[in-house]
Amino acid sequence: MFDGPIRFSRHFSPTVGRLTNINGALLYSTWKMYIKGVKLFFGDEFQPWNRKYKAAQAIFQGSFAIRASIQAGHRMLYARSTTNGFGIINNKEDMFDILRGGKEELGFRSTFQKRIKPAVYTYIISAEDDSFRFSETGAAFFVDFASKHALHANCCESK
Amino acid sequence: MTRRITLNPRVLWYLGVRYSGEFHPRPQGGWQNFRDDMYDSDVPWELVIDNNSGTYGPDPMMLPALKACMEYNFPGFNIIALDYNDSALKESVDACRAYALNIRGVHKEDLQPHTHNGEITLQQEATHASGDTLPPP
Repeated sequence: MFDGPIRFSRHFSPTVGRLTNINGALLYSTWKMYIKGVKLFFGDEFQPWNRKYKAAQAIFQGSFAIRASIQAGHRMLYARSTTNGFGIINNKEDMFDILRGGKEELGFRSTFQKRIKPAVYTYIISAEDDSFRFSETGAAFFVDFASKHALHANCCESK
Repeated sequence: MTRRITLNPRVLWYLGVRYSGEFHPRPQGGWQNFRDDMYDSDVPWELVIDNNSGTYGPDPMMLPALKACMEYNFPGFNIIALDYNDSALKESVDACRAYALNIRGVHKEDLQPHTHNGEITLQQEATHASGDTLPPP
């Protein structure tokens, strides 16, 4: 059972060793995949922010400024850019390529990019557009944000 | 085709996400079974995916739905969906990180988000950008 190719986009981190200075910098990718069947499998179930979790309270009930900076960070992370990549996953080999860090590299210092990386990723499946969004959990652009998942989800209203 | 809808931010704020957490790829059974003189194509691959997200605290009862959804979209992979406090998850993540550090030369500091002196973080840029839209006090 396979519902056909999955479209994806890839965004390079807009921070830490700006794109004008990529040599030697460790750049991280953010991936957005338009997966299928989200409603089929999840039905009407959503996962609202966790009322018992302090960091979530600070984001969703705290000051406007926190939400505004997460929203702005989200926009920058997923901004349209000439360095973005696009593609289609037709089979597991295509997914292997992504787990190797993508076909086209920008300044990665790993010499093992032809191998599937032993890496942990932070992901969300969006309520907004059913996309599967992820990046490496160690990505530098997460620094100082109260929630990696909220940054990917662009979860919050700012008004 | 992709469903392109625009949800009212208030609705999105209320709904949250479909699911969230972490995942990692691994050779069948775990990274401890792998060696770098093997080709990636020598072994079946698995995706270990969890609900490790304090922000949304995803309901573990939906892990079977998550597993089914991932199987549907990534049929070349065996999907293993685990609760964040399952000891099998910690073992698998530890083996993945150990392989990265010991075999692939990943630096320990790169496992966690960090920056070097003088680097502008996304958070700083975002705060600066959003400051322009802050309402008057």
